[in-house]
Amino acid sequence: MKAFNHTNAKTLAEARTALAGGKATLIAGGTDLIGTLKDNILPTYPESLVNIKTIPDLDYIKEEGGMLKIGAATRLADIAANPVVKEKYTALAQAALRVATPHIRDMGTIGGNIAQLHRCWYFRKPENRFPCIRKGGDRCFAMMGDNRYHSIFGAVERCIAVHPSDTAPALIALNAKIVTNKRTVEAEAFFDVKVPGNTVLAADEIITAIQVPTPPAGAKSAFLKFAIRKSIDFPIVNCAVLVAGGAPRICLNAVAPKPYRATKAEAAIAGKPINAENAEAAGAAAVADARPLTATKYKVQIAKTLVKRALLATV
Amino acid sequence: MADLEGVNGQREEFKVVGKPNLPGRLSYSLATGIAKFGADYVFPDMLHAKFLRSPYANAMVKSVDVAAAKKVPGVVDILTWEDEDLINFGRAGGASKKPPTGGGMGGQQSAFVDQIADMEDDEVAVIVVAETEEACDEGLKALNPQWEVRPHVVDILEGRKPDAPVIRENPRGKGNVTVVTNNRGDVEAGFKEADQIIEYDFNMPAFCGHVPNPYASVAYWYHDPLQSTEQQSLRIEGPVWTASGGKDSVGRMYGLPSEMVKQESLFQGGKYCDWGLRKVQQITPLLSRRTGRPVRMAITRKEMYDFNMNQRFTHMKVGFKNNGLITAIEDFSIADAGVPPVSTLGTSGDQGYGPYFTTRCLNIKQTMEVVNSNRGKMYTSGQHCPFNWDALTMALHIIADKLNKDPIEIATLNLHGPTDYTDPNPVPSYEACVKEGKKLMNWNWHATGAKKLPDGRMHGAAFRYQMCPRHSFSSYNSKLELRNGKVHMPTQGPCTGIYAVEGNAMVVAEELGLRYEDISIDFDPMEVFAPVGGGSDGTTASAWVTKECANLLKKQILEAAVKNAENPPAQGGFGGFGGGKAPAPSPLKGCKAEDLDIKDGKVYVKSDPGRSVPLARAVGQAHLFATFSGRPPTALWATGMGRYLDTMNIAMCEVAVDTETGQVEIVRFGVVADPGKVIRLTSLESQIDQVMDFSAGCQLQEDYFYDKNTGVKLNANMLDYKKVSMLDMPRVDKQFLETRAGNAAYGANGISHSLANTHLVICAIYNAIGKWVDPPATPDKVLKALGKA
Repeated sequence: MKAFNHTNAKTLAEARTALAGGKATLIAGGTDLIGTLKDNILPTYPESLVNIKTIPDLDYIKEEGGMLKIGAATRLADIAANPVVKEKYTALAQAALRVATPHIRDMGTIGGNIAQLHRCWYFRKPENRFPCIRKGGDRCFAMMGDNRYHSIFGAVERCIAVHPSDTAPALIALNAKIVTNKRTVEAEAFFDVKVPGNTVLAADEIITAIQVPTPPAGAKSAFLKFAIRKSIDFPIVNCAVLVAGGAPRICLNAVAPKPYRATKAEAAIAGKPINAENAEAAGAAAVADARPLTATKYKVQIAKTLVKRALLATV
Repeated sequence: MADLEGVNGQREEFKVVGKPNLPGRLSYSLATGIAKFGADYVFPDMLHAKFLRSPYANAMVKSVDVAAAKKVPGVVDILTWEDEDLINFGRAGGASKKPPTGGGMGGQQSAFVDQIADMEDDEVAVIVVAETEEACDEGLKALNPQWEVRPHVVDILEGRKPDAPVIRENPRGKGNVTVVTNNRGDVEAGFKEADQIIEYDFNMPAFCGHVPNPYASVAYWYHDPLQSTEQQSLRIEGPVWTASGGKDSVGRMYGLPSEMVKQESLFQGGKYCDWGLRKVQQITPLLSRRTGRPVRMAITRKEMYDFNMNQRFTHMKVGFKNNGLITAIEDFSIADAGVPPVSTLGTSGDQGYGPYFTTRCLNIKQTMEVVNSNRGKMYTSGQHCPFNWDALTMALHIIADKLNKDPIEIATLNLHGPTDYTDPNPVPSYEACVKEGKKLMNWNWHATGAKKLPDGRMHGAAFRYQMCPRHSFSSYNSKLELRNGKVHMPTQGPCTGIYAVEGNAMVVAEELGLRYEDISIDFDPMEVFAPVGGGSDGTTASAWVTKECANLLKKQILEAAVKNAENPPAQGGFGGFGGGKAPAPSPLKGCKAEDLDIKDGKVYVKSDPGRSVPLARAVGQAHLFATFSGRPPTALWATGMGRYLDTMNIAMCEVAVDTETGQVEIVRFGVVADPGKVIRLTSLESQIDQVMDFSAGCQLQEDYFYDKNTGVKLNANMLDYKKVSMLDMPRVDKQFLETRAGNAAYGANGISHSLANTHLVICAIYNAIGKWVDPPATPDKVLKALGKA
């Protein structure tokens, strides 16, 4: 692992200034970043890491103004254990609890979890062994290679890697907003496919908070994750649902380069009672537009099942 | 009882042997982080070194820019394939032209290291030595190596084809393929005799061993005039214990006798019989000799994703009578030869002692195509459980399914008797294991696809048997010492995670009538005794030798006690100067050695146990030694595994299959094992847990994935290679029997890898859903089998 400078930012402005030079990268929990540096997966390497955990007031969970507010540097373990989140924003608590391992949840932050890079074993192969389109290269190696964990909804910008966040679909289902030092973005619009990023964040833009509107009384949410292992693993598919009144919100992840809002599934179950038959139909609708590769057909079946089961989990 | 040739092999009362939870002598060091592994050693003024490793699956390095690399700050030395030191490396003393092979390897290397890389991350003959690891990396980059990329084979089914590119010389075969056979009887006649014939495919994924501590070595040379005034001695840390002796096998590469090679570290890291020395462990003395400074070289985990089990594809044809009795077995397999040096124990070695020889079947034909590939290396491994064992397990389940019978019934029908395949008698150990296993698991066989669980998942169950391995090809040199009234067991260790040293100490305590904690285990790297030689089977074999040694020491102790009782030393001062007084008569006075015994730390008179003296006082100032060299009486591997059945074990499992997602959960494993006699219960239990971890992993999760276009591994990391986590491990119910039918101490055999299985879970999945799924049975495969993907 190459050496880098490490600085503790005291303010957002200080962190933003450091980023503006183009040679620094933010670090909070560092659970994704350090791995990418250690494996030297990117063509460029930061000269310095700017620690934002030292900035005051980025680590909190509170309800005010009809919404849940979470500081960007709040640890996933704290979100998973928070009684208010567990009760009213259940899908988010469940999602945070299913991230990685206890150690990583004790280090990883909500901001880092939604801003992490995508999972693709070609993209992540050490020493930049496969300089793919997400690194400025000219091709997607997974497209012609082993893509068993990749997208079932086609490519975005010719990339078929999937977004791996567990908390992202929960935030989208819960209709959250991402607050940065520059603006506030709908969670659904926050994710993007860039070189090499996964978000709409500008180079000097910093996530500061997450805002989740308090669901109406009687609303219920749920999150399910399907992975090979019961711990550590990134999802093969995950799914979050919010059932509030007659208009449910359903979001899948790990099925496409960005979290996938299953609008057809939402339409299929809108206004209907949630029972096995309707949930099954919603599951089928969720994958109606799937265009799986030969090796990812199984993910369609799993996505369909997870939508059904997540809906039934709210009953 | 088989321990008929040894002392006390018939012992019936055990106070120490078999007790649970006696602490490991080194457990505190391991638990607290005090333990130093090879990678932990840092010496003053130490340099670092790295090999140039290939980014390609098959390539030849054509040129490197040495001048540019030497300009990198911190780079101290560079070796290439043109360097005489590297060309001659491994030819001890310059006298031998035979290239070195790693410890315990069955394969051959053409040179220690050359310009050819046979797999991704394979070392080639370019080494950078520098002040820091970073400087090594920069130096390697500055070399700007130019590679000739060659065709690769990472799909052995493609590699076996006549038109496949030949990836390396293959003097004993054709193309990439070497064919090996092992036949018994007349298989065609056996098929004619059969009422039914089944054919099926039995496929195994490769499996990674994951030695917990990736290897590293650090070495330096020093003058020890007491050893030699002409030749320097070598200090080296990191070489693992091997069949040929770890540090000593490295020393031999440099023409050194054992006395001139010193290694302090006891800790080898737990391992699954991966005893192969890596190049980094062999080369550091050379680099130190060139630079005059200590040199360290380490391997990353990515560079050490070596196989513990090779990939194999097998097509089976089995004939059987309508009662389930097998009449013919034809096994055609295609096995990965991997990259040299590679153990033949994972390929052709399986044929000689495979599962078929445990049956009454007279007609067996085994043909194996061993295919050279660029997939990876496999060092010594798995020999206690031929990995094709479950080819037979699968046959038993298919036959049972066809006849609508319990597979245990079919297994019992086909298992031959204790002495050989013509022996009609039952095997008592097997019978006992089955009886207890049925109780343990509440075994209630159901037909395929017949049981749905309340949560909607399908239930399946399966059964297999194996034999507990016996070990007697290794000799051991045990030494025990009594000084200052305390018994010492000097040993070089090592600590490999199997607690063999502790098992031996328990036997010493048992034989000497002492407590476990009364035995001082003295680790000394220059000692000879190393109670290894496999896993638990090596432990029981070395324990047999130690038992004999303990009884020799005991004889001396009793003789010393008699002598001391007759001529007690004066008490209270120096008798010759008048300060002493006559001691009280010893309670042992007047006895002969044969009148005495030792119990609870006291020497006592057998006919009058009230007359006793604590051991230390009984022997006074006696300083006693006993040594014993030898091995247990019989060698199973000399007769061929499976042809002789004494101690057996069985495993069962239950699974739940989610037919909507393809997810398989192992609900529980059940194990009944008869190791003959339990020596160290805690080790035995842990061994079972370990092999069940292996079994869960290779059947549900673990596999290597390669990019077919480049031949590089895609998942050589702990995230993408799906080693089971603790949460993935099911309950493992265990029960142990002691028939005392083994050959080692007290009739013990080993347990080793015999319960490791590749298809027990797969058979249970079939029982649940009526579909065969190749391991690992990942959701994609299960759903595909169910027609849902």
